[in-house]
Amino acid sequence: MSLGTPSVVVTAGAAMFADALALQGVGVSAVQWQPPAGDPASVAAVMGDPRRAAANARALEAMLGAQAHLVDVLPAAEALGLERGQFLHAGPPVEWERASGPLRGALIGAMLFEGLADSPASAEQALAAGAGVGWEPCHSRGAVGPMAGVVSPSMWMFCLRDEANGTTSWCSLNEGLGKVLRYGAYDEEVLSRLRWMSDVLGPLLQQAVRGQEPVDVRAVISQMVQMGDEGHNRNRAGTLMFLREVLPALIDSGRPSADVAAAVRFVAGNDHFFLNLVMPACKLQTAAAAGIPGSSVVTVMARNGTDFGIQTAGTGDTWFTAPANTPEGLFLGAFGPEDANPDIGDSAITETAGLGGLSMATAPAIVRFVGGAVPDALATTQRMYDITVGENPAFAIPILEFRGAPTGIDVTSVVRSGVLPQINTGMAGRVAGTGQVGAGLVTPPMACFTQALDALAGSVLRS
Amino acid sequence: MRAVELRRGSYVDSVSLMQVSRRVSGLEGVRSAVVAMATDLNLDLAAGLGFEVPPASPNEMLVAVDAASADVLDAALAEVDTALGESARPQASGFGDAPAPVTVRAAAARTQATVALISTPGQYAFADAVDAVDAGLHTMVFSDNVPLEQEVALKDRAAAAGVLVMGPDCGTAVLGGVGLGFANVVRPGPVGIVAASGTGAQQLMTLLDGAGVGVSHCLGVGGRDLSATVAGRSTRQALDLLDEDEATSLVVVVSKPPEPSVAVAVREHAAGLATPVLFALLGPGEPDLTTTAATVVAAAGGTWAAPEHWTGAVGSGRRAGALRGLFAGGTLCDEAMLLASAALGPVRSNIPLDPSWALGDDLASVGHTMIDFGDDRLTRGRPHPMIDGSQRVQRLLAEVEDPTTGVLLLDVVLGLNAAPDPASELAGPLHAATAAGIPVVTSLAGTRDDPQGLREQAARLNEAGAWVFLSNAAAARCAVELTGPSGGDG
Amino acid sequence: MSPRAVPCAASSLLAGLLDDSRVQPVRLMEVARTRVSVHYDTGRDDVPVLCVCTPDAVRLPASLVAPALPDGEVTAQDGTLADGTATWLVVRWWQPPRPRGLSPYAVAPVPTVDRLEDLRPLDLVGLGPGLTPCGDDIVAGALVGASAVDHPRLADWRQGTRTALRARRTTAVSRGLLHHALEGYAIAPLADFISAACAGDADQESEALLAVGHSSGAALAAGALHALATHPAGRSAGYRGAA
Repeated sequence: MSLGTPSVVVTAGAAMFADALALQGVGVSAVQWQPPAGDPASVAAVMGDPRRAAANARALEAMLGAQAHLVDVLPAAEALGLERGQFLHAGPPVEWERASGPLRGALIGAMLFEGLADSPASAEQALAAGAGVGWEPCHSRGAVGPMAGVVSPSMWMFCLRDEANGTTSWCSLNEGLGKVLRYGAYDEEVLSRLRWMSDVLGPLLQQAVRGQEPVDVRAVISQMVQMGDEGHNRNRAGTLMFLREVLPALIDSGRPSADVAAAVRFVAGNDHFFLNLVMPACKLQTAAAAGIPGSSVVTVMARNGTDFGIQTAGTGDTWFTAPANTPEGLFLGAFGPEDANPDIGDSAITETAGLGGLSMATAPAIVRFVGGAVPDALATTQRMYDITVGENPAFAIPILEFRGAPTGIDVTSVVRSGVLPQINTGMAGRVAGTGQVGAGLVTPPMACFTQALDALAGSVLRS
Repeated sequence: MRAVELRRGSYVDSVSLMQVSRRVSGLEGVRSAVVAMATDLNLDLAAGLGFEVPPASPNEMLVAVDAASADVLDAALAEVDTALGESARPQASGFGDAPAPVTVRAAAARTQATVALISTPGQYAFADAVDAVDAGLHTMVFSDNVPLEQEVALKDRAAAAGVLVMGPDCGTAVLGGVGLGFANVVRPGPVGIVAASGTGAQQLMTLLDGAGVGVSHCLGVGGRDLSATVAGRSTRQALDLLDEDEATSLVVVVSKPPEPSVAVAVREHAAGLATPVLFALLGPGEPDLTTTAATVVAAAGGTWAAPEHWTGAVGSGRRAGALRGLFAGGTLCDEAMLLASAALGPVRSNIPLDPSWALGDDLASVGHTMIDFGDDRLTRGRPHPMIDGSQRVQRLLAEVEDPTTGVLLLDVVLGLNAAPDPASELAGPLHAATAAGIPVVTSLAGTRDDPQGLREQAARLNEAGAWVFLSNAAAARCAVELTGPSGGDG
Repeated sequence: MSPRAVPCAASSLLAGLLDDSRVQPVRLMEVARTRVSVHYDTGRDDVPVLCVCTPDAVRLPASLVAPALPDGEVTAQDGTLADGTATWLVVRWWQPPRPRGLSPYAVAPVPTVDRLEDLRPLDLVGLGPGLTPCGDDIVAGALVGASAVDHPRLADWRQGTRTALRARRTTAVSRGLLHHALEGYAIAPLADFISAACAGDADQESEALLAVGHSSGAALAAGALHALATHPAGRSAGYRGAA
């Protein structure tokens, strides 16, 4: 680039230099700088990695090119080959001793649901002993689960395909709000709902989905983002649009009209039904960026109620974990902060893909629900552009002049700026069996990102 | 009554902290106050003031206050909070305004910026500079203490991106009249400067401006650019940019003598350019900067006259003693040492011309001594002496007390970002020196348009009894002459 | 010193005026004012009109760019400007653009070239409405364009312009504009437009130039294109030969 008289200068560091430039009538873009959170040597190694810029560009391109079509609905045993006594759960791996209340509650509920125990106490005993039972993260099978994210072989799953990358992702059917398994509740009300979902809702949806063109979930997300849904804590428009997509096929199914009506009532009465389709769509998007050497883009953020774990494009399926934070926000009924369990669920895959908290600006309707004001929402998303590698034009945010959702969280930007990805989330009760206690905002622990940075730095030395 | 606190997660640059420190120290009943990042140097400083200092990391902020009473202490700590709050930059508050960018990449993406100025702490500056280079910006790295291998990596990256890295440890640049860092207000003109030395470039620019010859651009390249390892990476790139530049018709390279192999390569590179290139290499047997300025003025078709000077006081009770030079500018110090050692013999220094002339770690004066207060080791965690002259003023008072001091030599550098009124800060100690019979010679680098006012600063220094020279070389010669052969290596 | 110091960036064309003010203060009379600029008569030959403007104004070649404008009469003294309430201090000098040494080869022929060829500054200077009459803008554009490509008619046009200016038949702002156009100095959008036009891509920079003033930008562009298109080395030479 040739020399000339600069009209704008970027400054980082001493404020006096910015002031002196402003005095000279030169525009100044001053960085609000602070020392990086991580090891300076790791920061330098990764920033200096000659592969980084191209690898991150490739990661972004892969994410933007991913597709997501709903192709089937089927039991987890069929979908994932899950066998009796095998469970999936949200977040990074965790043993029983360290498992949180809601995760324990959901596993107990799944034992009862599968008929592997006849009482919560015996279920707990078997789980603690590990007798004939085992569990692993949903992510290890390419699946995702909200909150506790517990999946057992008889539970029905949405099956989404990304034909561009030849990948598949799965997610359970959403049970609704309040006392539900994913929040760790397991009483008879919870179990009978799960049985109805397996007996009636799952097969009905399967027939509807198989009987028509696959639903383009990404296209629905594009529209919902323009209708006030951020895809994590607000899925109202998405749910209704999904219902619009499958309603004719449900009616045409030939099933008893009472069953169809119950299914439609159930979906329409649960504004979060579509979350379980946004999540696997996001998983397909972020999985498209996995395995790109030198890329510092985050491909997974997930929590199990004890630990928060992340994975990056440049470090394969290694988890970088640290104790999860507890969300702050509003509580249901008489619940208070002391009832809240630390952050839980694979639903932060929505933020990993640029939705949820990262696209908070598009959902002003829920900012007060998560304890903020509208300007905070606008500022949050604009700040998130500073820690992401690009924007997703498919998820355009009207109030930001249709700017695309901030996409591809960059580990280096997070560590250097100290700005953590913003996550919108539900809050589970700390005690097994409680269910949902509120909703709010949370961030990942910085230690996940500094560990990932150290590993990326290690990969530079080996490359 | 003392209080020592460490605060985490709050970072404020060292200049702002200095202002907070001063404000709190100035409160009635406060005996001393240190508000600084907890670097080793600052912890030592606090320990020296009698504070019990806990172990701390440089990312923590040290707040140490000694006050006459508990009430005053509380008030002082409250004042620290207020002052720190005020020094934090205001946030965007308008509805929908974007908050301030948090990375260089983000800042570049939001504007049409073409240049970045990085002055973050040395161990982090590489990451910020990489961001700027990747965004296609010419990048000035003011930060010092940047590892050498990072400098090489950064410059290779910049070459691939077609942009220039100025620095690390680049104090001065002027791009199309816009001053970055310590820069003098100079007129546009035909001379392009490539400088491996900030104060060397400032001396040259001010002398050219004084002779009515303007500057197109002054591109700093960092003091190590012409070392064997960095091999003139930025120098060659700066030469190419100035060669392409329409406004530049003559280029001057200012540096200490480079590595011989690098010098050959750079001269070869320069010979292949359409624009004539002059080399001003400060070293034994080479012309001083003032002589170079005269050559450049002649080449640019201007008229050279010896830079102005004002005669100072030589007290009647004058004692014989050694020459003591206290500098804010490293190259000005170098130039003075070259001239002084040729006439007087060894000159001890923290940046010695000969390794055997190095001062001890305590920097205590031994015979003829010159200290560069802008050296890396003395600026860790504190502002540059051109911004905050207090360390040098203290040393100046100590030299006046020292019976072996015969003559004092100081530089005063004006321009953007330099202290607003350095002459007034020095006036008291200068009076003390002349009263003690110690002649003081000052080298004043500035232009008629510098915000401090060149003539006012010269008058104030002169009124305090000092000799004032706009040429650093002339100042050094005058100091040597005043010292005389008897000054001796006592 | 006045109570308030306003930092400003000065064109190098103002160096003589400001340096002389260190020896002898000069009172300057306001001759024109807009929302973003004030113009002063200097009585000097090197810079007849001084313009103080805000950063968002189009910068005339002899401008002092400042965040605030002076009020009423000002005095130039000690290298600064003062209006009694504040002092304008130069903290930066800038070089006004002056396109030179360009080749008009890539400029497309202009159909009306024959009629435009006999551009006569004497008939144009002072003609038309505005702070800078349209005719003046055409002449200024032609002068800058001609000096950029070393046009053979440049000497004639200069002569005609000087004669017209001696007659003082135009506005003060125009006088300043034309005075520096005689030496090839231009506002930045005009300089960029001429460089782009000579590179065969006039469209790229035309938007910024056309946005100048109500019609000034278009008139400057017309004058500049005339100079480029009538240069004998240009592609248009063939067109003219055939006509």
